This record gives sequence, structure tokens and C-alpha cells, in this order.
Amino acid sequence: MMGFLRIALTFVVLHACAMTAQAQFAPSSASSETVAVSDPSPNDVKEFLRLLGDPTIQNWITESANTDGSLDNGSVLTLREQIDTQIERISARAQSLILAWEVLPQMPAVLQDVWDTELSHAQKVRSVTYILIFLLIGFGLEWLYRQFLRRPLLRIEQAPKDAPSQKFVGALVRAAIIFTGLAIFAVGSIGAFDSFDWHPLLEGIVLDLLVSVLLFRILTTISLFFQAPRAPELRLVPYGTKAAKFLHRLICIMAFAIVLAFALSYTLNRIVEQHGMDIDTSLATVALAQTVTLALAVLLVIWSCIWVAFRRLPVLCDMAVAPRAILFWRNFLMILVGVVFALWLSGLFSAMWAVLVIGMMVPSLKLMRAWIDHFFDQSTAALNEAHMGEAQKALDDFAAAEGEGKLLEGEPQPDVPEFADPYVATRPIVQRAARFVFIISGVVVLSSAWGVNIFDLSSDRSLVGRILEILIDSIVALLLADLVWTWAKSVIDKRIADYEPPVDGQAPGPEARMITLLPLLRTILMVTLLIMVILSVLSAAGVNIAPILAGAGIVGIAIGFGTQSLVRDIVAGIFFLIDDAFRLGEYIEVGDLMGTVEGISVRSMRIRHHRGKVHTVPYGELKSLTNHSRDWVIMKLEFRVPFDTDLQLVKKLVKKVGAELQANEHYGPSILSTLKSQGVRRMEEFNMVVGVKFMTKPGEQWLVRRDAYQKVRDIFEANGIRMAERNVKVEIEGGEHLSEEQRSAVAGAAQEAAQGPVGPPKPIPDEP
Amino acid sequence: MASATTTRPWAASFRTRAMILTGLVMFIFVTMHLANLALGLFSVQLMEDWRWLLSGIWSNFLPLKILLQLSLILHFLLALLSLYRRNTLRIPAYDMTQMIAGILIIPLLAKHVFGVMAAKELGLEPTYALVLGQFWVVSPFDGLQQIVMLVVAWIHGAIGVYTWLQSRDGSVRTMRFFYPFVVALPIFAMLGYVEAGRQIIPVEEGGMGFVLDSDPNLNGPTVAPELIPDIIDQARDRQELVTSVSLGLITFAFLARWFRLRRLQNGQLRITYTGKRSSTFNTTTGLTLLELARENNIAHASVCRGRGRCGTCRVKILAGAETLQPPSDGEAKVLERWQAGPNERLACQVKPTTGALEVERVIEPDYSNLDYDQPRQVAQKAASAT
Repeated sequence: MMGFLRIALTFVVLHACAMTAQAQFAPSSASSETVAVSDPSPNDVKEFLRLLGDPTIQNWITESANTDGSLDNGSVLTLREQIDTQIERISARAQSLILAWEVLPQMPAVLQDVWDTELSHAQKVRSVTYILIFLLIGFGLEWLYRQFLRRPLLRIEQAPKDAPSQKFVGALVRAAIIFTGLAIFAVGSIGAFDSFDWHPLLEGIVLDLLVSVLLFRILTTISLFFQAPRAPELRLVPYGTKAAKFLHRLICIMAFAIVLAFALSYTLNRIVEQHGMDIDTSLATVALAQTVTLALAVLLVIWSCIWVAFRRLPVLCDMAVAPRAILFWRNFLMILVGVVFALWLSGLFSAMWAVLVIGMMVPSLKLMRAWIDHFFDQSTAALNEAHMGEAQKALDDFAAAEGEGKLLEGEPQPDVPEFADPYVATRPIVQRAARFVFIISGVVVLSSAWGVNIFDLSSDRSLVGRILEILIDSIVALLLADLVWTWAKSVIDKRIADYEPPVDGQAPGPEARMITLLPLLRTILMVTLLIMVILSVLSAAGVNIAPILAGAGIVGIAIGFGTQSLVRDIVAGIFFLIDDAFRLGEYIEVGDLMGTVEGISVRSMRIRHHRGKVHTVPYGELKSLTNHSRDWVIMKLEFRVPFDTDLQLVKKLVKKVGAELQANEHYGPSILSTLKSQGVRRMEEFNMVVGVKFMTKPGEQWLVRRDAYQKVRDIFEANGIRMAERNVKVEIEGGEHLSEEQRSAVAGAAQEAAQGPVGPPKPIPDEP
Repeated sequence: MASATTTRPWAASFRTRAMILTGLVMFIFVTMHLANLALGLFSVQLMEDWRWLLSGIWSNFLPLKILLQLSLILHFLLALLSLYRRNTLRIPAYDMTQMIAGILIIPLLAKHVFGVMAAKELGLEPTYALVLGQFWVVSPFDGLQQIVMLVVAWIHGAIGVYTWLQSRDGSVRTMRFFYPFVVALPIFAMLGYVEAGRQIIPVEEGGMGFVLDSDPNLNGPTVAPELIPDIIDQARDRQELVTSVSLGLITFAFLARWFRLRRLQNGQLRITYTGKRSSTFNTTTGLTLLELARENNIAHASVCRGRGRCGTCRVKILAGAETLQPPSDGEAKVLERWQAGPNERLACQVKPTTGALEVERVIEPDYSNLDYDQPRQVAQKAASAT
């Protein structure tokens, strides 16, 4: 998708170029000005005023203005006319280039002349002295500053750093220190510069020189920030010291060439402007001659740098790259630079920027991707190593087991753990975000090169403006949606992947409910994003989306009414899940239904009763819900003992049983608070009720209860404590004469009478 | 830098000491001279008033004059020797700067020195009014050269003194004063030079301006007028002779060094650095361990940059110690000062021979926590205990 977009962008850009070129074309005299964004020099202003005063120019302006005074944007020109103007422009440029070529040999003489005539000897000496003084003051102050920061800087550069975040922070701090040093250098040198009086020509030249020194140092500092040739601990790029040193040197050379070219072009133009030329050529031609020569030199430097870099780097980096790929990228870059230069030479500046930005986009995106990957790889390097060790161990164990023939039949594969990347969610987001920023800044550069203000496109009613606006809006919407979607998807997928289903018999963790919710959330998010992107693209394209929204609203309301209870179920379910009211595998009680939660779906849940019945309960039906499987359960037991029981002994015995239970290897750990006697709970007619209680984890209480009953009974019996039995003492007045048989008959009758009517037994809570 | 010769230990120690001493003498001279120039910020008169002390004392007071000349010659010869003994020219930036500055000094200096001497022969007192007039008006290009010379000489001397101070006890406190001084003095001197020039130029160009209270040169040269061109020619000849001789000697030293290195048989060598960032590399013999480490991009703490003075490049020799030569006196002294273990050596003094070597840095490349006064404190404690 992105590839297609890029191609589309290129296509549109190239067309847009041809159409907007007329409006964008800058007069050739400002050739150096269009490249560097700076205020026009007085000379340019003069030139501009001269041009404005020129009757042909005035005529052209009047002609190209519409009746309402606005400038014609060229869209009414036919294609043929446009091509004609382009060709005329290029030929005019070629003529001025030829003229410039003729002027060139005179340059040294002119410069010599200016140097000799403009300045007296003393002035020369003094100016060079001054320059030395500034540089000395600037460098001296910076050196002082660096000396006082020597130790912290040493620590930043040399202290071992493993985590890339540490490296990044270190590199940032170091860059800050170096930039502060540069600022001190600038303040020192330019401040000193300001405190002297100057010959006007010299003033400009010296300031150019100082600024170029600064610019060069800023460029090299940026290279230092990434490559750190002398501080491997701070290096952010994935290659060794040798390659870093080599590349840093190349970048320094290129930066030097470019900065020198700019400085010289400014300086020479200043000198020529001061002096004027012998032959009858305009200053613009002379300036062009110098600029072209310098640009040619820069071109050669850049070409040779690319050539050398692609020759040496594979050796220095130990890269296993196909020579074809290297050749391809080298030729690509060289051709790109050549084309940019050719476009610049023929004066097609907007096309030049377009080619430059689009040409650099692909390799830069590739490089950035590799760079971010490297960053994350580095941060997980330690983990990865540990993981490799574990995997190797697992494999070794497996091999050993295989060798000994101890392998089970059902386990033919070694149990190699999977590598858990902690940044599995962050990595794609960072990739996307970086790409987003990169593409957007590319678009901004492009549009500013074409002179289109992308923040003010709606006022531009031309076709190009419209297309550009739609394109940019759509790209932004797509990229943003892509960003959000990647983030959400990777986060959700990671959580789902991390979820481990509970082992049989164990209560599931809180993740279980999220596993229910997350796929739902993911789908909802995808649909929402998709709709939003489509709507914003449509609205950018000028389609009125209000009716669509209204229609969607009406349909939504209709569906909402129709599926009221369904919606209620879903919404209630979401809230129950968010409340964490129940989880998979928990024993719950809903109204008069009870059972283990077996399945949770979007609309309903399934409960299995311990006798096997399955209830399906829609969430909308749930009023309240009792969960038996949370945190802890207290179980109270009662024993009936006769009145003559020794309660101290009972307490002691119960305590002993409690200790035994706690020591049990199976359920002992689940007992939170072991069995203890609560003393006599109440007195009944014929016995005392002794209460005991214990606390366990949910689900374990039944087993503990069973054992507790059994052990208490046994220990009571062993210690001569009888459980109270319902017995009836029958006193028969004057019954001494009764025979044994008669006595028992009477006792039986009395017992029956005492027991009274026997009702149905109360339901006892079931044990699952 | 070159390792000390074991055959003549006294020579190595003499070389180091003589280099530092002669360098210091010249540094003091330059400092005083620049201080004199800096007075130009106030007035040429003030420069002139202090000239006898700040500059004149080195040419009029004979012992000092001899000392200065001897120092210059000895320093130059020793520098040639150390140039000859250099194993590699891939040296740290400070050393490289110092070397280039050192090579430039004599050609730049000769004109100034012989010019002043010629003025004396002409019977003129080299007052500041005269010399500055010469530099600012008569031959501004020479003036420019002098300014460049000032910067070059100062940088050369400052790096030398900086290195010397840094590997001394209590360097932290000394450095606090040294840093600002080393930046401020040349700047003030150059500003003084410019300011004095401003006062001088109008006079020399025939206008109104500054005039010395009592100009000893009011009457012009005292020698016969026909001798003047000869004297000037002679001065120029001498200057050219000195320039070409010095440059020739330097070239000769480089050539000799080249021949020396070419004659050396380079054996194969394998060095392993263990520790936090371990690495192994194969290389050829001929360099010291520190130079090899630098060449192979291994970070190494080294305050004196390989002069065998500071002891921060110490390494523990874990394997291959038997192939190394025993430490020289100087190295032993430094090791003793740091109370180093028996298998510790200075990386800048050890010249590994063919074979395998396994070493570990004693001081991490991040030596920011290193207390440089520690050996002294230990020594003091030992002294107070006895």
C-alpha cells in the first residue's frame, strides 16, 4: 500500500512540477539564494528593484495578471505552451551558463585586484590578526570549557554502556556538551568580532568565514552524535570503529566541501560585487559562473565519496551483501546526485527538490528501518543471549535423553522455549512512527520547495492544489490510522499470546476475562478506524459526508431498537467483565443457579452445575452474582459433646489436629488459617456444641473439612471424649420391679416420644 | 613514544628531564615576552618601560641569554631525537598538533630573531616603537608571520607544559590556574600587539600619534650608511641558513626514522585484552602496547599520552610476560609510585615481541574517578607511619 502511495506521489509530483514550474521558477541571479534559505543580500534587493523597474518585467506582470488582479496560475496554458516556456527557460539558462563559462578565466585576476586595491597592507595584517584572534578566543574559551568538563565527558564516553537507552542518553548528553562548546566558540569569536571596527568588505567575508566554521562543526557534530568514532560505547549505528571512523571522515570531507563551497560562493560574490567586471556582463552571470564552478567541485567530491564509501564499506563492516545490491545502490545514489545537479544546472529547482526528496526517501526509509531494528536488537541482546543458552541447554538435554534411550514415546520434539521479545509491541510502533514523521517531513520539504503552503491549501483552488490537498490529507489520515492500529494490534496480540490457559484444577488468573474482551475490542477498533479513515478521505476529497453520517445514525438507531436486549446483554457483559465479577473456572451462584463458569462469550456465559447440568445465562439477566471462588473461604464445623467433657482438652486436641492439617502435603499450603477451636458455641438440651473453624483458599475447603471431621473424631475417641448422642434418661418411679425387658421397652417408648415428629431434612450445601 | 633503552638508562632519564627543563625555560621566556606584548593594551610607552625586564633580560643578562640559547638548541636536538625514535605517526591529536607546531616554530622565529639582532648591529635599540613600526608598516607580511608564530609557539609550549603538569602530583589544583592562564595570555598579547599597532601606524605614516618619551633611535643607525645593506643582507642570509638547516635536520630525522623502521624485522603478534570489553587482535611487532591498542581502537586510559610518566596506562600481564624486557628505571619508578603489583607494566613502555600476550587494563578507560593524588597520599601515610 505504501509502495503504491509512493509511486502515486512521485507521479503526481512530476506532473505538478511541470505545471507549477512557471510560478516557481526563480530568476537565475538568485541561484545560490534558492538553495540556502537566508535573507536576501542588499545586492539581491537591488537586483530585484532593478527588475521591478524593468519595463519588460512590468509588462509580463500585467500580462499574466487576471482581471481581478490575481496572478495567473498557469493552468489555462495549454500543454504545448507550457513545454515551450520550459524549453525557452532552459535555453536561457544554458546561454547564461555559456556566458558564465567565458567569464570564469577572469576571476583570479579580479580577486587579486580586489585584494590589492581594496585593502592597505596594515589592514590586511590587522584583519588576519583579528581573524586569528577571534578563532583563538573562540577555540580558547571552548577549550577551557572542555577542560572543565573533561572528567564528566570522559565518563560519558568511556564508561561501559549496554542498554541502548543508556547509549542514546549518553550520546545526547555528549552532543549537548559539544553544542554548548560550539555556542561558547560562537559567542567568543563573534563577540570578539563585533568589538572591532571593520572594513565593510572584510566584515562580510570574516562573518562568512566564522559562520562556515560553525556550520562545518555543527555538521560534524551531528555525524559524531550517531557514529562516535572515538567512543564505541556511545555509538548508535550498527558498525564497528573502523567503519565509523571511515564514514565520519567521509562525512567531514563532504561537509567541508559543501560548507566551503557556500562560503566561497558568498565571499566571491561579495568581492565581485564590490569590484565589478571589466567586460559587459551582469553580476548575475559572474555569480552564476562562480556558483556553478563550486557546485561542480562539490559534485565531484560527493561522487568520489560515494564511490569510495561503497568500495570500502563492505570490507570494513564485514557485510555479507550481494555485490549486485551494492553496485545498484552506488549507481542509484550517483545517478541521483548527478540528476539533481543537472536539474539545478538547468534551473528546474522545484523538480530538483522533488527528485532529491523522493530519491532519498526509499534508501532513507530502508536505512531507518534497519537502524531502529538494530536499536531494539541491541536492547534485547542480553535477553537473547540468555534465551539462546536456554534453548541450547534444552536441545542438549534432549540429545542426552535420546542417547540414553529414556525418551518417552509421546514426546518426540525437544522442548525449546520460545524467545520472548519484550519489545514485540513497541518495535512496530516505533517503526511506524518514525516512518510517519519521515514521510510527513518529506512532504513538507517538497511542498515548500514548490512554494505550496500545505497548511493553507484550502485557499488554493487550482487542480494541483486540490490534488495535493487530498493526497496529503489522505496520507496523514492513513498513516495516523495505521499507527494507531499497529499499536493496538500489537498490544492486544501480545496480551493474547502471553495468556496461558489455566492448568486443570487451578483457578484462572485475571487475564482470563481480558482474553474474552480483547478480540472484541480489536474488531471494534478496526471497524472504527476503517470508517474514520474512509470518511476523512472522502471529506478531504470534497464528498459531503454529513448525509452518510446521518444515514448511519438512523440505521444505527433502528438496529439499536431492534436489538435492544442483545445490546443490553453485550454492554452488561462488558461491565461484568470489567468489574471482574467472575472468571473462567470459578464457582458462582446466580439467582438460584450455581456452578462453575465454563465459557464466557460476548452475550452470555455458560455455567456447569457440579452434577453436570449446563446453564446459559445472558448477562442482561444477571442482577447480582455470588462468587464462591474468591480469595478465601471460612468453614465452620460443630461437634456435640457431653456436658462432662474437658473443654481444655478439646481445645488442645483441636489445635493438634489443626497442626496436622497444616502439615498435609496436598492441601496444607492452601490452608490460610488452620483449624482452631472457638469454644462452646451454645448449650443444648443434652449436650454442648463446640465450634471449630478454618480458612482455606476457595475450592479446597471440602477436602479439608473431610479430613478435619475424620481426624477430630479419631482423636476424640482416642482421648476418651465421646461425641454426644441423643439419649433419653427414663426414670421410672417405683419401677424397681420391672424386668430388664420391660425397662428397655419403656425406654424405647420414651425415646420415641422425646424425638417428636421428624420433619424433612434441611438441604445441606452441596459439595461440588 | 619510544621506549626507554635498557642499555643506557641514564640517557633516557636525561632526555626526559632535559626536554622538560629546556621547554620550561623557553616557556617562561615566551610567557614574559607575551606579557610584555600584552602591556600594549595600555600604551606603547608602558611596553617600552617594562621591556628591559620582560624581554631585555633574556638578551642583555648574559647567563640568561646563554641559558635560553642552550635551551633552544638542546630542545631542538632532543626533539629531533624523539622524532627519530617515534614508532608511529598515528599519534593523539595533542601530540600531532605539538609536533606540527614545533616544526613550524624555527622557520617562523628566525626572521624575528635575526631582524632584532640586525637592528642591534645597526646600532639601533630594538624598541617596541621600532619593531612594531617594522611589522605594521614596513613589512606587514612579516608582522603577520610573527602573529602566526606567536600562536604556534604558544600552542607548542602550552601542550608541553600541560602534559607535564597533568602527570604531576596535585595537578588538579595547578590546572585550575593553568587553564585560564594559557588561554588569556596569548589573547591579551595579540590584542596588545594590535592596539600598539594602532598607536604606531599614524606616526610611521607621517601623521600625529604616539611618540616615545625618550627614543634611543632618534638619531637613526649609528653605523656607516654604506654598511647598512650588508648588515641587512647578512641577517637575511643567516635567517635563511637557519631555516634551511632546521628544516633539513627535521627532514633528516624523518628520513632516518624511516630507514630505522624499514630495517626492523616485524614479527607476528597476538594480543588479548581481557576485562569488561575484551578483544583480541593480530598485529605486527615494532610498536609499544599502548600504540598497538590505539591502532586497533582499544580504549586506554593514558594521561601523559605515552610518555611513561603518569602510570595510568598500567596493564596486568596475564600471559606472555616472559617475552617482555624488564622495566626500565623510569618505568620501575612510576610503577613503584603507584604500588603496582609484580606483573603490572606500563603499556606505553612495553614493546611486545613475537608471540602471544594477554593483558588486562588496571585502570579502566573511564578513569574519571581516578584520584591522581592517591600515590602521594599513600606515600605520605607511609612516611608518617615511619
